[in-house]
Amino acid sequence: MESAYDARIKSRPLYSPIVIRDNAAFHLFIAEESTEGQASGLLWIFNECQSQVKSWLGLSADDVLIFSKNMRPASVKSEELSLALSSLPLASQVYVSGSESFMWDMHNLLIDAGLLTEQVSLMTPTSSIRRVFCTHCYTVMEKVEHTPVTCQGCQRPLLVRDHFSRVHGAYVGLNVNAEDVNDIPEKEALT
Amino acid sequence: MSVSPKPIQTFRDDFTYTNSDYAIERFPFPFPEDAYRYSVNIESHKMPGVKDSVSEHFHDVDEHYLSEMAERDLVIKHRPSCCITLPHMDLACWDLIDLSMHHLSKDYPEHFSLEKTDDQWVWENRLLGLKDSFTFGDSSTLPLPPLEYIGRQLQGDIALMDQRDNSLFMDAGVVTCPADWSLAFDAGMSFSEWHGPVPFVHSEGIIDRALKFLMAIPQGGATRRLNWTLTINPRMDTSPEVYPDWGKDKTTVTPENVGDKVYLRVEMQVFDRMPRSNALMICIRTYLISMNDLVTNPVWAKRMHRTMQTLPPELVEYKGLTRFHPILVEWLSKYDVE
Repeated sequence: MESAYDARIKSRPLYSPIVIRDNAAFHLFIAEESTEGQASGLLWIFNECQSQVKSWLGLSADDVLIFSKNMRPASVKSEELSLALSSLPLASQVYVSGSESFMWDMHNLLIDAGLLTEQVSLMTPTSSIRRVFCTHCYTVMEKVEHTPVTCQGCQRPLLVRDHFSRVHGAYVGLNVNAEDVNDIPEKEALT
Repeated sequence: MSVSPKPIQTFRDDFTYTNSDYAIERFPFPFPEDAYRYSVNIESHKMPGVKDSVSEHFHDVDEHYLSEMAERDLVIKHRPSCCITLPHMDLACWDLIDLSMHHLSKDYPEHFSLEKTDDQWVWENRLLGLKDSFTFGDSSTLPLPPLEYIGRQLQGDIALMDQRDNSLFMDAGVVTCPADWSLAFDAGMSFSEWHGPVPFVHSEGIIDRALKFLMAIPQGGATRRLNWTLTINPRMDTSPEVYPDWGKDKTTVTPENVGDKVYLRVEMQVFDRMPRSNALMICIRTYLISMNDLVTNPVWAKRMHRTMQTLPPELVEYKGLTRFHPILVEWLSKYDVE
């Protein structure tokens, strides 16, 4: 039910405009390269950043490094990426752009590598596609655009809620017709 | 009066769960007023509490002990993800073992005993027929991971919250009777994210105040609050994981079966600081009472009617009562005539 009282679920992250931290010892810009989202916003900030110690990483969602600027082109899997991130200078600042699930995957990788939350800046997601976690069979679905969505694991129609887990980088999906099998709402685009 | 647990009754399928007259008498009825009001309603859990009440002892071991432990075993077997311990929470689990074993053996010496020689502990739980020797703090000396080990001997769900970055994070738990929340999805969340879907509490500042209060709880400063919802049939496992099994129960309520089908579900939530890890323990103990048993107390019957009648529509929706709420209010009205 949408009502005016407090409709925004508080676990859904809010994203503030990215600000360059001038005093950082190293600036790392990580962008998801995909057809859905363009990293132009982050690229603009990268170009604006006056620091001489900055790098750009373009990554695909499966954590493969596609290309780099100010770094030699390479192809690195996520374990190697983790290793590289853990050797960043102590006072680094990392700016991330991409789909919401990609950004939280990167965020968690960076936190695991020893960065503090305030050292990681996430941009507003480049698209409204969501990762959805089925709360019944735990199947995780990528690039969900509509609610309800049929679970690829248990085949149940799932209502995609705004309740978000930063650990999973995902929204929760809940069986929409458990109380009445015929009660399936019209498909709506996620925002 | 300490009671011996009854033989195992069920919280699923044939639903053989019942409350004795004594259990009805001591039921933690949660409504202090004749109209619904949201409040944090926190009070001290200082021991000993009122004699024979559910808060007389730190952990209330009641007539449903064996039934609840059998139910917990079923849930853990079907859904291992209901026990989660992130690696940094091992010490907090041992804190809980220490706290629980000391309280249980002191409060119920007929059922539990603890012998300690330095860090060599011998724990006996006669209700479950367990006798285990282990080295305190060494998880490899227990037959199960520490949180699952003690969780299988305590009534109520447990969440262990790590305190850092000005918040509490749900980094460990054993959760088999949740009121519609998933540990597998919510693990690792901050306190306010975990409560993200709850209406009112954010805009009225309740969550922020509760969080500040909980973070300031000192060692030995245990507190408690009551929370409630309604459940159809005496079903303990109302997790979202199995919502496809219990969601349809809501359509089975009729004016004729309200008294049997609708249960008031009350959680006594106890919060305490863990001494070694500084984690905050939340024990969420669930009590269930049928409307038929509840209305045997005329004060409760009248108050239940008035509370349900004045419940804000957002809460009717959030608590999932929409399908049967009007039938319940109508049925309760006959106990509120003056």
